[in-house]
Amino acid sequence: MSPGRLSSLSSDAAGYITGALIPVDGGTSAWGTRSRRKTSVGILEGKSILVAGVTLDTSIGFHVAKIAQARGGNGCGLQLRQGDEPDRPSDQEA
Amino acid sequence: MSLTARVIKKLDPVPPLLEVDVTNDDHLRGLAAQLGEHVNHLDGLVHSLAFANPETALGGKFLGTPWSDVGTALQVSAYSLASLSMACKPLLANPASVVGLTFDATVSWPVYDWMGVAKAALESTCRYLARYLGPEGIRVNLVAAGPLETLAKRAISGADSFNEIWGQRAPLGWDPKDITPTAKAVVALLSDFFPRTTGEMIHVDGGLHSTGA
Repeated sequence: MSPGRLSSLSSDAAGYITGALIPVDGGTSAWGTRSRRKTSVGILEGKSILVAGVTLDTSIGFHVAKIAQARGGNGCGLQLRQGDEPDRPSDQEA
Repeated sequence: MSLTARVIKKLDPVPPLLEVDVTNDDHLRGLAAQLGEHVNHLDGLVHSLAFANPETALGGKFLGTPWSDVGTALQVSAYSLASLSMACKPLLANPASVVGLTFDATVSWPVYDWMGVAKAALESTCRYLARYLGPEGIRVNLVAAGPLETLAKRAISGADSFNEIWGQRAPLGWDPKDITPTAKAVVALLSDFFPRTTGEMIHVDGGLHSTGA
């Protein structure tokens, strides 16, 4: 099993992350396995992503979709009918 | 549908918008077919949803919350990570990445109450999904964000106290209006930059979790 890359931790993608211990261990710290692919400047180039929980433009889902598009991703937005009317909390939670 | 339909017009290109009730089994069963009309596979799934009744399950009502409201919070906020992942599984590639959002539930917080319990369930669900989906090349991770000024936070009575806690303790500081650092971490986890990380929770909280006081 080859070691994973953690280049994003030294990039702007890791803003506000400090004091973190991030296992790159194939999931053995939680149990799991496998994967790998190419990297590019657009780190989501060619990837199809489904974002569940796009509500207002202040939602985390919206910002993820926006940045994912800027990084080469494309995909779908998923509105969750349960609990995402404007008067009900739904997307992230604190 | 109309509100989200308007909001996503700010994205370029405007992505297809689907509507699903995660508490409705028929909706979940039909999701893969709906998605299949737009994509032939998925490389990533982002789970950014949660719900708890703000009148009964949040804001200091913990000791009197009825099971019906607790059950709803758990189903929408935690179980849905598993049910949505499985609904999308026919389209998930190998490798693929599932990323959810949490508010670190390894400890208790003021007023967060049953949403905190639901988040603890979400975090455990993430680890079990990582265990069961790892052999198929599907990674499952969470981003534990600090407090953000979302619709959800505004619905929690007393949640402003989080901003004070973060203002005092986060080594890097914390801007609750800046969602970009959290979104970037989600995108990083969707990418190939974490190919051997699964069942993990990455804090994007200005470092607060690493401090004792």
